[in-house]
Amino acid sequence: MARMSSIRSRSAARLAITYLTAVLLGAFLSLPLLWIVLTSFKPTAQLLTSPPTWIFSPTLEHFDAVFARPEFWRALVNTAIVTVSTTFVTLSVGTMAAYGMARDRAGGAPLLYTTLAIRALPPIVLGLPLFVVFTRTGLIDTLPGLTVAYTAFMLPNTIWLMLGFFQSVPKSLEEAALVDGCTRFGAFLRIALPLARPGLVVTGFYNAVGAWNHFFFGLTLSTADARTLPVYAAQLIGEYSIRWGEVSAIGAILVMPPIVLVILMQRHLAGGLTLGGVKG
Amino acid sequence: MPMEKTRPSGTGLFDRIDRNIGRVMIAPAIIVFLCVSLYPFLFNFWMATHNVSLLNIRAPEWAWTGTRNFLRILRDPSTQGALIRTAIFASATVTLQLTLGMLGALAFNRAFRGKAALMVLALVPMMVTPIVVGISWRMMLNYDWGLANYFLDLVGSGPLQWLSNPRMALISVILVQVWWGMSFAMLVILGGLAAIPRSLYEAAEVDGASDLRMFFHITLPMLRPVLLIVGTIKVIDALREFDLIYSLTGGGPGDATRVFALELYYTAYERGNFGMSAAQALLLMLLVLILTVPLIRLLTSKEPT
Amino acid sequence: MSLKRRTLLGAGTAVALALAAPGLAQAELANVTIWVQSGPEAEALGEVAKAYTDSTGNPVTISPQGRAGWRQRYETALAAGSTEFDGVLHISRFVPALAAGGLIAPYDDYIAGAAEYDADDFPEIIQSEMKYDGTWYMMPTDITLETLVYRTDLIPEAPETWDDLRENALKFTQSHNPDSPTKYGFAYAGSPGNVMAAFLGIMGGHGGDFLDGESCVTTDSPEVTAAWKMFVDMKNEDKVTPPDINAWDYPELLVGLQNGTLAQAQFFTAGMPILNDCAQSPDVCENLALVAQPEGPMGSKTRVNPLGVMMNAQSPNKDALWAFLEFATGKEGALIYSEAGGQSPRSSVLANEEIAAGRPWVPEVLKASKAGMGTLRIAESREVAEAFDRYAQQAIAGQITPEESLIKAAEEMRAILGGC
Repeated sequence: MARMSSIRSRSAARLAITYLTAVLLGAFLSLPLLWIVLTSFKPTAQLLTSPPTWIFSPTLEHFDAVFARPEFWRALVNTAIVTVSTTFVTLSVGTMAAYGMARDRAGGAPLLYTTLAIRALPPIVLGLPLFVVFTRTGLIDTLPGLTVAYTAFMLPNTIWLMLGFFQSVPKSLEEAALVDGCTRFGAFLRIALPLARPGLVVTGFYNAVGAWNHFFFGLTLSTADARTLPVYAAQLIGEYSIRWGEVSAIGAILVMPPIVLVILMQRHLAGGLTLGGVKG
Repeated sequence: MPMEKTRPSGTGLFDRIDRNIGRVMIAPAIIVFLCVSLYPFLFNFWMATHNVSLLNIRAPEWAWTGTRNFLRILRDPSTQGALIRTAIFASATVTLQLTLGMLGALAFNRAFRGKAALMVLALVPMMVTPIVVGISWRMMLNYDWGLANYFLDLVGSGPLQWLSNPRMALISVILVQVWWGMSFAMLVILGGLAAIPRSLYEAAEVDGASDLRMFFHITLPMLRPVLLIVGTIKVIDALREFDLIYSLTGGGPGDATRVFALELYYTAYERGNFGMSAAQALLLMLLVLILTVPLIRLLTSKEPT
Repeated sequence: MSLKRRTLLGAGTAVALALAAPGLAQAELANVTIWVQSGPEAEALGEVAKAYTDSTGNPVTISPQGRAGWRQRYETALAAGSTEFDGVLHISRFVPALAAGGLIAPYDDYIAGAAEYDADDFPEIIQSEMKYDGTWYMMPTDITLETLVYRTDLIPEAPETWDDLRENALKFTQSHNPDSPTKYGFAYAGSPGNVMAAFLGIMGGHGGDFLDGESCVTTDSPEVTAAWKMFVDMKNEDKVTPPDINAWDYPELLVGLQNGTLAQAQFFTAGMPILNDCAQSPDVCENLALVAQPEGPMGSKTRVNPLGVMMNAQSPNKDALWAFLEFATGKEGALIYSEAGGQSPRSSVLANEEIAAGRPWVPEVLKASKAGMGTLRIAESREVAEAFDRYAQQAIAGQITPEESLIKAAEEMRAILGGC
């Protein structure tokens, strides 16, 4: 009896700590965004008062102003296209490479170090040479060009992430499948990938959000046609004034798709993984 | 140990590819790196070993200077200061992000009511575009009309000079960086936690193990690859952080928050010396490699059972 | 000719024309692209471009670019030999470095060949700001000044001297005078890169400068030291400025003026329209005025900050760009530009009464164009400015004394210029 109640109180304690942590973190992490969303509904005159205005009559004027401009819609479409293509390319190329590196040590230490070294260069450094290369190949201000740049930027991280996830997945299942006559690639597709699904989800989410919000290469390598939303938002920062209302509105709009993605992602990150074949 | 190639050997092309599947699978990534990253790296190296500034960048030839740029930056007080600041910034942000990320991941690794909503909230920072993050925090940390000092006032504490006191500014920058980056750490660790079989914990509980013991003997070891990966990524991110700090403080006040990536920018675009900036970039790469070699060794040595 | 032959001939001619068309089109209608920072200048230039295209049929594309990393972006493009744009509009401060590096092209030959352009319609100081080494490298589109903006409901008469300004500041800072409606009596943009602009007025008023002529460093001279000490003391000793002023950029200044936190501030004329617009600044639109810099012992010196268009040295459309600029910065175009929201520095435009009506800065601009201070005209201007800015920031943050900061800055400047 004593043992049952100690287990029960343990559960209760765990639940309490869980809630406390989750709520505190949730509040701290989301407060600034809530402030942005609040600001996007404030009338211009009350945007930045001292002390801050909490009670105001909400207005849609900033959103109207944002939606009224065709450049906004263009930037939205551009960003969507680049995000989808980048995520797709980066995830496929990166996952395959990570698998090769995890299972076969393909490329060995040199490849690992190379991905690190590339990862280590701040984008600022790449700005000038990439501009030169892209100018000569005609990729400046094009969506495929941006996809290429984003992919190169995010590939090392993707490889590293999936590497970690693949290494956490035991080889035994794949080896068993090979003995049963499966091809190496088949083992990858049918066993390793599904087992590493949480990792795929996380990495895919990271890539998608990273591409959606990416700023630097979008800024440097596009001039007009291929402009993305974050760069468009930055344009609202004038020399003397920042159009706070509109920037906040765009910030609020920009956050929507990632939030949708998170909700979709929830299902795949449930605690505990059970796949019949893994015996305790 | 590479995986056993236990498949019976065939001689067709498809079979040959499949036997060497590891090498085939890394090929696309290598192509991307060669095409897009190699040239900038070589270009950078070329600039670092020549005398290149805004005044002569379009001249037909640049004067060779060999290692002079490297020696110059090592002696340069501006670079030295940036290195120290970056070290402080990196160690503080990585430690905090990993710790808080772990706490958050542990909390979210179980089902509870409201979890979905709270999780969305916790992941928010990752989802806001850096420009908006920088500007919003800049306004929130403003001395006179910022939200931060407003709350401090509510709890009776005096206002802080978040972004204008040199020491405080570095703390603020660390704070915003942790705010921004811990969601990712939490997410990745959560992914790693999700891959740990539940059965391990159930068995341990039956044996009477405490939560703490389970954490140190089951969770941490199983998470090791993931933690190493996240740690490495975060260290590298910290060493090259630019966007956020630039929009928050511009490197100021003075040079109090001028971390290495900003120092690179200043050397190239304010002091107009591209050669020196390129040398600083190579120094950064060297530092990253030195710092992460031990991590790589650990990763490639053995795998958890 | 048989039908078949005629058809062939017709088809052949059509093909030949089609192939030649781009070449022909290029000769007449080269599309000129100009990069401009998004804002009033881009809009005004857009109006001028429209008028130009309507009358000549030549297309002009004005491409607004955001402020984020603006200078770094067009410099990168110029350094990479890009032809993404033919012209770029920015302030005159960066002309010397870009010209010395061969990244922008000179205009002298074009101006000489334009009989009716009347370059002398621009005040002397504007002309010198547009030049490097005696050659024109920028065509002027705007003039803005670093002026003093103040609350007329609190300060009925504009401060005449720097001592007046200081007295006002003390009176309207809440920490000194609890009844003051404004929290701080004085402010400026103190963030990295901006201090110099705010300091130039008081420095000139004390008769100081960073260089004498163009060679010897005088940053640590007694005049500059006196001015700098007064300037820095206003924050650290008098405490009449916001304590975090070294994190303030122009947007913060604007907000500070709009929400009544500030009584006086160093601000650019180009930002005035926003302050005077009651839709955007309802609390203060009626109560803000601007005036040229107060006087120091050696008079009043206001920093002049013109904007203009530089020509990309790699541009294949230089003639077409000049054709547009000749119109846009010529007498007719300058008027259209100014009516659309810009402020051309042409004397003829400044004297235009219709333009001057509703623009309180015009008299100040006229004053300043006779006694203004320009920017450094040497190729190393940016390095020198960066050296000053770094130590200036430390002085403002209170880490070193004003005197010390000037000595260190001067030492570094001498090292950069390799001279006295």
